[in-house]
Amino acid sequence: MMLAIENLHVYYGGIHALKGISMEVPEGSIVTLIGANGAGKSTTLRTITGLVRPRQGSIKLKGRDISRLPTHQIVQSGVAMVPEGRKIFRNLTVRENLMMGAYHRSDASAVQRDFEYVIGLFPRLEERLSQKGGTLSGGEQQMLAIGRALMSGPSLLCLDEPSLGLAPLLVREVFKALESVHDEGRTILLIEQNARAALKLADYAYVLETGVIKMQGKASDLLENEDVRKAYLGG
Amino acid sequence: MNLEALIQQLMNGLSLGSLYALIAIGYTMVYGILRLINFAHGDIFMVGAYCAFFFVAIFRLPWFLSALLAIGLTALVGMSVERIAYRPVRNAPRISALITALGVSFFIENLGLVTVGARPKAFARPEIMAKVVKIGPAAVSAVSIWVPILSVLLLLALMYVIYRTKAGMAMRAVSTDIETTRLMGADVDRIIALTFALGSALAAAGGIMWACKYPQINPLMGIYPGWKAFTAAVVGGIGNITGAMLGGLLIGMVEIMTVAFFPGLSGYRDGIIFTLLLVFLLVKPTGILGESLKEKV
Repeated sequence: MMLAIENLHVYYGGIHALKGISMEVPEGSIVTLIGANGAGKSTTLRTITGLVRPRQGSIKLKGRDISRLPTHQIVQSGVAMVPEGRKIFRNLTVRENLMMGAYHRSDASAVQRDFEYVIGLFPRLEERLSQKGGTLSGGEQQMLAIGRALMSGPSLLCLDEPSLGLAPLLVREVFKALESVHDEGRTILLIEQNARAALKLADYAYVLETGVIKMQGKASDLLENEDVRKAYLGG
Repeated sequence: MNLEALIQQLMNGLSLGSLYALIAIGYTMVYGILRLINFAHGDIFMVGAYCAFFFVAIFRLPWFLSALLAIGLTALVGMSVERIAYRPVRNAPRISALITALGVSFFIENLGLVTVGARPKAFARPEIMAKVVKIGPAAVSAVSIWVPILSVLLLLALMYVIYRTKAGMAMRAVSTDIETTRLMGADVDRIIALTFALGSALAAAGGIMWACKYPQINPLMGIYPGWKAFTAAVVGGIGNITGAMLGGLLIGMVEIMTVAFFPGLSGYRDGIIFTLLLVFLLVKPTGILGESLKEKV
């Protein structure tokens, strides 16, 4: 199992944000976590990456509990994150943004290989390499954020709402790129409000509602499920 | 004013300004990363001068070796201040961090008074700094020429580190977004420590050169240069390194030229600089090159 979360409890001040969620992400799969605003999706990802500390429960990456490690060590052990709102370093060039993704790696030739892979995945970034990150359009920034995460050579790629604020055409482009990343054998944990796109892409899905996993199953089954259709797919 | 005096005053302003610039960079780098005004920075500058003094006077080391060791030691002092005093309050409200910085400043000053005494010490400057050199018709003290030259070299070295090395890239990343830098697998604590080390090293270099220019040192010598360099950082645009250099030069020139052209105002030289600070805070708080805070969300 790539990632196994067990009985995770997270509090924000007095608010019980995650009430004992458990989920699994098998190696080589795409798992999605869908749910309404405020259900705790982002909190889940922030807890996995150590930005938020759990009160209780465990998060195991390839069998090793990472829930008490500092963020940079979690990333170094193979978790990469595309944060909500992209969080591009706008005063760094596109190339520097990508190199920041590989900050903790020392194998220059492997970094170079991943750099070429990312450029191949998002050719639009190549012509912008020496531009400041802040000058890119929203879609390009999302591609840069994904590319930057891939530069760390992760075993698990986590994405927080990659479709947020993007035009439908760009959403399709971003999801196509994710599919090709998956085809390379990479494991993906995707958090989305755009449930339809996420369920179409994913193998397995969890539905989060106010800090509790309400439903889970094969993504294709959930796509057909009456309750899911009503609540998250607009009927 | 005749040409001779003008050249002398220009060199004076240039050297004073480059010293302010060296100190101002420490304020601006720390602010850029932590949004903290490190009020102890002027005292770090004093520590630099004293370290060099002790290496020369007590350990009898050669002057240039002493200066280098003093710079290294002061960098360690700066890192320790961050580790001991600032890191524990990093996530506290900003006012707590600000008060901590003031506390550290008083602590270092008073520690200096207790340990080395309030009586000024004569700082031995190397032969090469003590000479008098002719520029055209003007006789200028060599230290006023060396200070700008060495400062420019140090600033170029700093620019190289910040814009051409991986560590510098990480420092720029931290100044935009600490959390996302963590998500890159970077140990942010180490990057912040490095920032303090660099800023303190520059302040130490400034302190040593200051002591060459005004060879009487005392534990409170960092207060006024510190406040003026802080003014320089604000005037240049706090958080902006080029701005700090520019601001330093400007403040140094304004201070010297006020005294040169209006000798009657020489008693107000500090007041004039701090008036400038107030004017900038009122009219253009982002300084000459600073970016608006809106972008810093």
